[in-house]
Amino acid sequence: MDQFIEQIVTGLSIGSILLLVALGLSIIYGSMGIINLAHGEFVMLGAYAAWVFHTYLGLGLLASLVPIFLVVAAFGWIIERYVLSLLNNRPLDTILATWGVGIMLQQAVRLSVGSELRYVQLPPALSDSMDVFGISVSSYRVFLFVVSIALFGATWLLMNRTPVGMKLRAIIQDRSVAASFGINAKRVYALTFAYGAGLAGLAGALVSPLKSVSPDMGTGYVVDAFMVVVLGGVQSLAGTVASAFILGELSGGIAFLQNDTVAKAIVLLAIVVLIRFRPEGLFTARVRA
Amino acid sequence: MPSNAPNSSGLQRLIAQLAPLLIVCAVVFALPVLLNNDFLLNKVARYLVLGILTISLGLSWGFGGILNLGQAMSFGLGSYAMAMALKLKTVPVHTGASGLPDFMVWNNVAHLPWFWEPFRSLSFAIAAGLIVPALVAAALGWFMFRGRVTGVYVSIITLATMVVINLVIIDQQSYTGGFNGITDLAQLEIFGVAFDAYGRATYYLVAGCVLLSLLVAFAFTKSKAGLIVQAIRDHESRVRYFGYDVALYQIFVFALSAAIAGLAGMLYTVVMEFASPTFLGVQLSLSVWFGAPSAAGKAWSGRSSAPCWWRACRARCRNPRPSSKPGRW
Repeated sequence: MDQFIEQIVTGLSIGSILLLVALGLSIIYGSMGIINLAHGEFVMLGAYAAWVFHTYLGLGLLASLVPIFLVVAAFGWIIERYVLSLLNNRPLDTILATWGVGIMLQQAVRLSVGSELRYVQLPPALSDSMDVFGISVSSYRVFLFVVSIALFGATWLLMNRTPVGMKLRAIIQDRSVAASFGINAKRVYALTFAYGAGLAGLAGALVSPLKSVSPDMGTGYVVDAFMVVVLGGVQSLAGTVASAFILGELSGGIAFLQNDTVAKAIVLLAIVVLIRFRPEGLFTARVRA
Repeated sequence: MPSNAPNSSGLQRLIAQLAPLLIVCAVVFALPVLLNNDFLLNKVARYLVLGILTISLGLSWGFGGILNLGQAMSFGLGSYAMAMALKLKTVPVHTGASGLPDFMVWNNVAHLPWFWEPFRSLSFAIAAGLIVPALVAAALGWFMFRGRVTGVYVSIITLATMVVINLVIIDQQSYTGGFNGITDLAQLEIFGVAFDAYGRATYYLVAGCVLLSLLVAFAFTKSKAGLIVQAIRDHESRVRYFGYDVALYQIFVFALSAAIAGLAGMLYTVVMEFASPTFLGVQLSLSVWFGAPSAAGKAWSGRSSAPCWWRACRARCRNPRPSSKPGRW
């Protein structure tokens, strides 16, 4: 029984990391339809930002979260403004453009910071472990879980309860009609992309103490994040949450029975089969195109 | 009868389309005369191999409109087929008469697994390098296109499938060499000609294959099936209303492109002298797309022009892969 609960908790922990990484992508891909292959690099930038803030400014991880969000969001804003918005309505070109941007960011980091692995310290306040349902769990993982849920809540509120969110939803439904009502679609898109990028940066900063930080760490995350978003269904934030935790539990469980690699392979296969039979994702209500 | 005979303007157009392609191939073949540097020649051969991979992507994406992010899957399968055969050729040299590749000895494998056995024959390996990727692609294509999966979902499925195969290869270290791949290979030898990675023979082999795959791709795009495939790319449901079996054509072009990618993979093993899981990694698979837009982007708009093929090659040559990373092989 203990082992079972332990597995559930491990799965939740994996799921919360998946959710952190996928949330930004869900916004960008789900609402703007941009297949952002630079997403992993935004995660990587966030992780490096955490390292830089810690090493050069002596800031702890928690204190640097807000600046990291702003820095990476600014990056995203620049990329949207000067690359992607010029490629409007050409989804294939945006795939290539974002992949190119991603490679440039990778190489820029490799040239400036170097390609050796970097390590970010756990916040001292969260480096012990605590009791959850009778088993001992690292406090940091609990913290990640709480943060991921909180970020989801904030994003949901932003999308559904603020003027910017309403404008964005209007643009998604019909861009030209929204524009004729005086909504500045360009500005809303740039803000949305920046927000998604900022979330990715936060994700990178938050996972950096658990994983080593390297210039090509993003590639794995972008694949995972896409699987989460597609499984959950495009344009469904709640679906993203559900699928992140489903995938987390699945990989945690199979990894316990077999090993990590097999778990990943089986989960990917399951997603492939699922997309074949339900391409709109698990949790999407039919929406008008 | 006039409908049968190729009219002169059609012939002229064909020649005009073929000419740039043949000129580029002539340049490729002439290059060793000008370039007296084995190292550079090996580099160029490597870029040409990636050019073949780009051609295959241009075929499935540019002409078929299949958004295949996992093209390196076929490439890697071809590469491993060749590497397995060449590895078995080295066995007597490295591990005595017991006949096991070195990494199997390290992993305490006692007998050569059954799926390695046929690779003692080089001709089997070459056939497998073409047929296995084509069959895998056909099966995957059947799975996707029969369910009318399109667009970005195709790309997610192909990408995920590639990652799965990549993971399996890394996981099954005792049979595949795992993360290190298959190294220390013998030289390819066909009809008594040895293909040293840094020799002229290898370069001409690669150049010949570039010409071959260009011609195959070109012939396909000029055939009736090729025309239907392009029609499917431009308007899938309209073609379906005409009574064509859309999925069948998609599966065919997908498999053909996989076979060409498999050929490229086999050559890559010869040129690089090893096979590695990175050959079917996300990085390589996506960076091929850099070479493709000049080819596919053009064809995408509906104007399938022959120059796009060689442009694909050239673009690939100008964009070498991102520099190698720590732990890459």
